Amino acid sequence: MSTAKPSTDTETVDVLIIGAGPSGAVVANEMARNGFSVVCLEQGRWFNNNEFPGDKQEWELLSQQKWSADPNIRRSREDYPLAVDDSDLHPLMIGGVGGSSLLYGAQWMRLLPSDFRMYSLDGVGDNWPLSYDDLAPYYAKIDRAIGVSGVEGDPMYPPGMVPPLPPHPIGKIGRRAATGMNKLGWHWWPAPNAIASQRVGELTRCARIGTCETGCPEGAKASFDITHWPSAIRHGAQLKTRCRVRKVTTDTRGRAAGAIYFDADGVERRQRARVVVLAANGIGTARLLLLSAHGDASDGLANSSGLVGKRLMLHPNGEVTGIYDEPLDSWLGPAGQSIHSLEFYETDTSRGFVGGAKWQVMPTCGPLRALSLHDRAAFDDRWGPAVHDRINETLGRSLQWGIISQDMPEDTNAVTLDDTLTDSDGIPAPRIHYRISENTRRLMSFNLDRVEEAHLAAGATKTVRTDLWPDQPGHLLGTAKMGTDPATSVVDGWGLAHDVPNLAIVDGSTMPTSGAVNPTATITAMALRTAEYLVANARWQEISQ
Amino acid sequence: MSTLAQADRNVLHDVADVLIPATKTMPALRDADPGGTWLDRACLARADLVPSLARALRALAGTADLPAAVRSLHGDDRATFDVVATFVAGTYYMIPQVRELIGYPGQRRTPAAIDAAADELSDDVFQGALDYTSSYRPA
Repeated sequence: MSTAKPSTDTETVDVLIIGAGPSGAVVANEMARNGFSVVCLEQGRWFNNNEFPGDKQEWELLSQQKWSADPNIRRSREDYPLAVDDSDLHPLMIGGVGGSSLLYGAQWMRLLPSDFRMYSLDGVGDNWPLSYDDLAPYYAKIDRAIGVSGVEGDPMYPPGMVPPLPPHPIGKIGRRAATGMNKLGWHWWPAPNAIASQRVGELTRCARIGTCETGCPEGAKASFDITHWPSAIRHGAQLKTRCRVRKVTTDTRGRAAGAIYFDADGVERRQRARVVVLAANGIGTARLLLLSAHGDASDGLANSSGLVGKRLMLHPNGEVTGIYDEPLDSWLGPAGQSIHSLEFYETDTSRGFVGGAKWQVMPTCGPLRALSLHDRAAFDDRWGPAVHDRINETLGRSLQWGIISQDMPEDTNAVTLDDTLTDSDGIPAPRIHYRISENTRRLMSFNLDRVEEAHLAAGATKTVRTDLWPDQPGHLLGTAKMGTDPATSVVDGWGLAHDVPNLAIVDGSTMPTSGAVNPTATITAMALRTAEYLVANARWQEISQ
Repeated sequence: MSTLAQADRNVLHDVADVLIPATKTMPALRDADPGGTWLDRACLARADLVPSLARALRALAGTADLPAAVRSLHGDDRATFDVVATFVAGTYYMIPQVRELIGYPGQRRTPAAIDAAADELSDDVFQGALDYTSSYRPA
């Protein structure tokens, strides 16, 4: 690769990145600051903090549709729709600079050491071609770059995980929940968040508005449009918004040569590059690889293993909200997570399933959410004169224990291309085939039973349980598996495609197993690891002709 | 379409009297939002639902026994009921006077005291976390 200055879209750049979300931002920044010419094509646009609805009176109504995290509900031209009639879950995402970090909860969790060795330890899933210790330095670099807030010393992690910023207060909700955990002797810890507890870099200090998952109006949440793109652009990276890629192109040797895309005016253009980096996450990347089939790769680019699109993992979520007979200021952020628990994270086969779950306490916020806790009540218990009682009992007096369940990789859970549904540029939309396994159902049921016990131990007067959130979360993993064997994986241990050595994949699609924690810390650490590898090995890197 | 005709607004206020009736301490929607300012904001926020809302309100208009009709809607056509309830509750609980009465400050800037987190880390609750004896699985 050369270290030429960034070029126009008619010229060849060193690195073309597709997707300006967290992993694309990390790679762009790392490559640009090391002198490589970088172009990033992003289907969405820039968002301004002032647009986010969290500090507006109608926030709860706006979050239902205009700022929903579900692209099928939002129906923006910058998102692609998803065919979900064959799926138990509706995946969440948003197109835009910063990608889904615009709307994530910024619950900043590392995988545990056992997650990298699941097959060896539990006899299921796969081992990763790297260990926790291999990834730990990259976790730490990303933690510092984005300003993670938290407390050192969580006993469920090896020593050395030191959040660079002090923690947020866990607040009344965290303290009430923690009291129950202490009674039961169960693990909990003040939760790490990618939300600044102090002013740092481009981030302001969190003002606890509590609406992180509809965008932070304060600019305190570490979305990657704030933490990485300004630096990448200062170092020369070109970010082209409203540019939607329809195909990754190849040269005569089958190397990635760039991409064909539609610009903001719908004009088809071509961008040539020496190396192509896919950062469109577990659904978008699989979609692009399938769209990029050509004569010598008729089943999709980089798909000689047949695994592109398969092994989709989505981390099914459930939750139990507890109602307490005391004021808990349940509207205070961050949201974010107050405390987390990994008590039931590790596999214990005596429970009747493999894998585990991560738990987190979150605030419940406004009056519409408070009323929704009584949706299953009879009319006379929910409406009429009773509505005032329900508000008095619930608003500000509840807390939510949510669970993220580990998902096993299964070939039948997959992303394919839909025959009829298209995006606003006429490109085939992804079709999601996803069924929750019996193992996952048992895992969720066991954990939600324990969550109810935790609420009762904490003094809840009532619990309201949601066995499955069909529209949570936005964890899109596993559709381009990382591994050492080209017959059973799509990319190697550095994220480079076995079939196409100048094609890197740096998003959640490469994860061989899902773990059960929020994945953005892992995705971005892995992306940084790949970017540093590309920088260090540029002299020997195969490139397009 | 993101606005409602006056006739539809009148029906919505009547439905609101059923769903969220006035009490000695809580106002009716029609009294808390006499100019319709907050209903307009709700309609802008959920403009996608306004046509469905208007249809539902017109179906309820002129009903001899509105409370019974609303109750039937809840039992027989929950999707339509939920549209109407979204606007009634969404508007009502947006109104500053109502929020003050229910003690909800809204989602607003409330920065934590600078020593709040540190104080939490030096009390008995956090000691429970420190006393936890299990650990991660080495791998």
